[in-house]
Amino acid sequence: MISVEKKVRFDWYLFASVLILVILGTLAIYSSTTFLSFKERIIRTHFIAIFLGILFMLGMWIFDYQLLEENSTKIYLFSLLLLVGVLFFGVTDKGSKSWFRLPFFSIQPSEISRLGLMIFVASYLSKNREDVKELGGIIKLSIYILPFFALMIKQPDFSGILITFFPLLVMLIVAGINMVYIYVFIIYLVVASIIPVLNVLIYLKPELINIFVFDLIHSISFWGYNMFVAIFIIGVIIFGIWYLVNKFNPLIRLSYFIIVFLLVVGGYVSGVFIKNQIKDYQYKRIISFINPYSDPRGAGYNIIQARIALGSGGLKGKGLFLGTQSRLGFIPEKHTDFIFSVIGEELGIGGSFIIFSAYMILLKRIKNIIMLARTSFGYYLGCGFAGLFMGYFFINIGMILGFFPVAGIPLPFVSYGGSNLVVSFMMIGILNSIYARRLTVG
Amino acid sequence: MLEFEKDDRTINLIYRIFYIVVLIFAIKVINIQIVNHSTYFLLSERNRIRSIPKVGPRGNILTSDGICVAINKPTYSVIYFPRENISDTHILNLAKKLSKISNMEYGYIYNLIVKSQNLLKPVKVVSNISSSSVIFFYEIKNIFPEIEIIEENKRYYPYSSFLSHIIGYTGKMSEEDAKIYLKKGYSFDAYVGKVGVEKRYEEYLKGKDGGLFMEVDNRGRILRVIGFEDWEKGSDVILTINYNLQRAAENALLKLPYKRGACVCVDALSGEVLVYAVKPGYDLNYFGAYSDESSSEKLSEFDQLNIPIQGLYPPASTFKIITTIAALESGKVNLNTKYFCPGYYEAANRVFKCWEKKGHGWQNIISGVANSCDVFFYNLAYNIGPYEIENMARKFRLDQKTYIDLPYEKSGKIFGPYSRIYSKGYWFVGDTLNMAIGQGEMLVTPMGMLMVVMALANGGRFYKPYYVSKVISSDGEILFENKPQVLGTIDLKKETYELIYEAMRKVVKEGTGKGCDIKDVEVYGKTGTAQNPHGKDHAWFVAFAKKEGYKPIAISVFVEHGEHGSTAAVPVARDVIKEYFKSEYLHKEIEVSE
Repeated sequence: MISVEKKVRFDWYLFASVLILVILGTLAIYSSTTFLSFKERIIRTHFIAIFLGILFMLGMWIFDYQLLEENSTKIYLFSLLLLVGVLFFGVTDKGSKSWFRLPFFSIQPSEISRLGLMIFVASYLSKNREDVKELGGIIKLSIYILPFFALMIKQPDFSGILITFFPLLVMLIVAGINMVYIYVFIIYLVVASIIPVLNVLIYLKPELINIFVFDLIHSISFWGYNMFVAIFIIGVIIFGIWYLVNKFNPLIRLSYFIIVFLLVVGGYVSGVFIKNQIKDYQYKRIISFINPYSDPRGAGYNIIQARIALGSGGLKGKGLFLGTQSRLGFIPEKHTDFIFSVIGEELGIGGSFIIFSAYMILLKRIKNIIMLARTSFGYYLGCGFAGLFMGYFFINIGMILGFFPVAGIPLPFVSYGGSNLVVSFMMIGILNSIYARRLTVG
Repeated sequence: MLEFEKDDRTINLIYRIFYIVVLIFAIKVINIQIVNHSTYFLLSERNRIRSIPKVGPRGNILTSDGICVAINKPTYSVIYFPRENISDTHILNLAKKLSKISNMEYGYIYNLIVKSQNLLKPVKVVSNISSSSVIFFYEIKNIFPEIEIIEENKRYYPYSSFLSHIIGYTGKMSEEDAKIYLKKGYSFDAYVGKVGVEKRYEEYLKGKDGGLFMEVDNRGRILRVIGFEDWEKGSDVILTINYNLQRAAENALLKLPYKRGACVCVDALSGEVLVYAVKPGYDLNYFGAYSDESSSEKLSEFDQLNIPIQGLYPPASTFKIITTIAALESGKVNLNTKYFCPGYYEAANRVFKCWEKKGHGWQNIISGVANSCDVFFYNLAYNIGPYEIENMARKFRLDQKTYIDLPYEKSGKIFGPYSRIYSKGYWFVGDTLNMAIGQGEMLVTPMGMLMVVMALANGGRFYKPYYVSKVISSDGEILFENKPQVLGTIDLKKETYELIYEAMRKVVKEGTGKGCDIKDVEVYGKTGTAQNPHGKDHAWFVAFAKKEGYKPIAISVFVEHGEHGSTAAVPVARDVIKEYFKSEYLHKEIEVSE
């Protein structure tokens, strides 16, 4: 439907898909919290969030989205401030200091800050499009966004970091970044993950430490003297190889090897830093991913029960408010991360299908808006939003279907979660703002 | 109208990739919801994991000589599992049968079962069944298979009222308790420490509960026990209290015909409390049986006054120790000072009598203390003045708490010219005289007096009294250890120590403390008889005892309305001191810790 029709200023299809998700979500939340003691607080907060969300959505729609570009730096700094603030004034829940507790509700600043980050990056890309194709631009951008990730790791909010990769990746790829940098980044992630993953395996099976390689890597997994030695040795090996290779083929440039060295060392150091931030329950998540039945009462419990709930729904579902798995307390996070299984259980495959369709329509409409955006800022920001919603869908549903470890990521508009809901509505509002101004500027 | 170049291809590519992923997901969803539907449906119908918490054993509480004064007894509980299609008559019958054997109110049991049915959650309906009665419950289970019997642990105090004021007891959570403990993961009907060591060391004593995980089908029948988590025993609390000494003290107090009294004894080189006996004690097991909010009514039936730290009484003649030391330190008095006691003393137009109407004749410091001659002390007080005495009382911390780890400790009230002038603005000679002999408005606690003799015994250090030695985990790790702590010191002349020692020794060898003279032990003491306008006089005896090769101990005994210190209080101290200096308590190295 890429066509400029009569001057409709509000994308009703987009809004309709969101509405469907919100309605189904509300019914599912209502049903799954029936026996919880704090049910009333949840329902109340949920409706307040919907109300606020729609209010913000309208607000963002009315105002010109270009204002966001003009103030993008301020917005980003504010986002960083929020993240710093939560480290000092926030409260800890499930091992992460990710929440501000206010008199009537709690706010998760990561959600807002992520939006701020996306706005900043979209603005940067629209102003410095060409930079991104060169190393210098990439490094500059990386330095800008580094504080965001560092603060997120400090909480730690790993799922928040994970979901942020999606919009960033989409925005960068669309802006034309050389895929080489993406591959380099992936390699960096792989190197960085060696140490945390290794430590998880050792946690799982302590006997592994008897294997030389494991023991070796484990012993350099800490800050301190060992690390210096390790970095030194890595340097010797890499530059040693360069020296040898240089003898045979002087054309091979030193700079490549320097990059490799920095990559390996950077990955190594980051890996240690990340490993130090991993909490106990996160180890358990990974374990239960590998084998849910190894801990049927603990971390694997959610996955098993969610899948049973989904599967037991069948064709017709058990009926609204009659989901036995969900209602009798078998899925602890049923009103948040696992909301999709509640819908699947109660409304059957029809319900699952409606959720899928609504999301497809949502994303399709976003693509439409992206294509119609008049400014490059709107274009990039729209792409970011598309990436974000894709990411949410991918990870949340993927987790319930068993493709990923449990990740603590909600399904926007459906899951209970005030901060996520309000920010998602804001994004819809911004998209409508872009849509409304597709014909004229300003 | 587009102002910049858009890269349609990339975004389209990304979307296409995404759509493919969604397709894969859709296939998986169909797989789960349609293809394997029956399997999952069966699982959801069958797979209901219930968990029953099984209360783990609490850590024991032991005396320093290894006697367990708080242990666990195995006990049994009945769990009811709800099921569908159960008639009300069926429930009524079950409730009746359970109530008959358990002696619990049948309506209460009935309500529990109904609640369980409504929530479709298993509920504990009867608890604390002894091993002898459990067989009857198994018989009921034959007719009513929906009940299950589990083994748990219940707190038991083998010596019932022994050391009751220190040990405390456990009971069900009150509302305030619930606020704290539920957050920590305790289950609703868990028992928690309510007072004493049980409460203070709850986090150490509490064992980790086990759990029984059962698979229950949609009709509530137990299909199988999926697994159980073993419970873990809590950590043991080792007290500094010595069983034999405490026994000796409690028995001695029990023998007395007086209703209330207390005896506290410490190791004078560390502050470790060896005896903390309070009469009356109360049966700690009693509270386990009636443990819900109604126990607060039961509590009021018991005399809960913690005499050693809450009882405030005039120190009477025991205060003469302070007066003596004040006099010696002032320099105005020494061994040669003599006063004559004709049985009375005149001052300010009044006549103050000595307790010995006939009079004691000429006394010096030693005989004055040994005979507890009031007139001697009137003279002393007149000589040195009340300020000196009040100061000395403060130096001996009589107006301060001992900070023993027990709640609601009261500090003594020193009554002297400073404090009096503060509140009332005048001071009479008569007040000085009363103060000298420990009467008047001055009040002390037995613990407070204990600090006095403790400092005398060890040369001037006030140790903080403590009754918990250490906490040891179930696998032997020392989790917590108490060490001696000095609250303050007092600096006295060597001659003062020599003279007061000699005087207090004479009290025991020839004076009112004769009942406490023990062979081969140097006992130094002072009796007191506190005048009580409302009833009979109270009895005091404070002392410390030394012997080569032993750590010195300090002891304070108080008997309410005991009439005479020498007859009521001294025998209690005697039993304790005698027991202590038996050879089992030989301590080869005496460390004088700082």
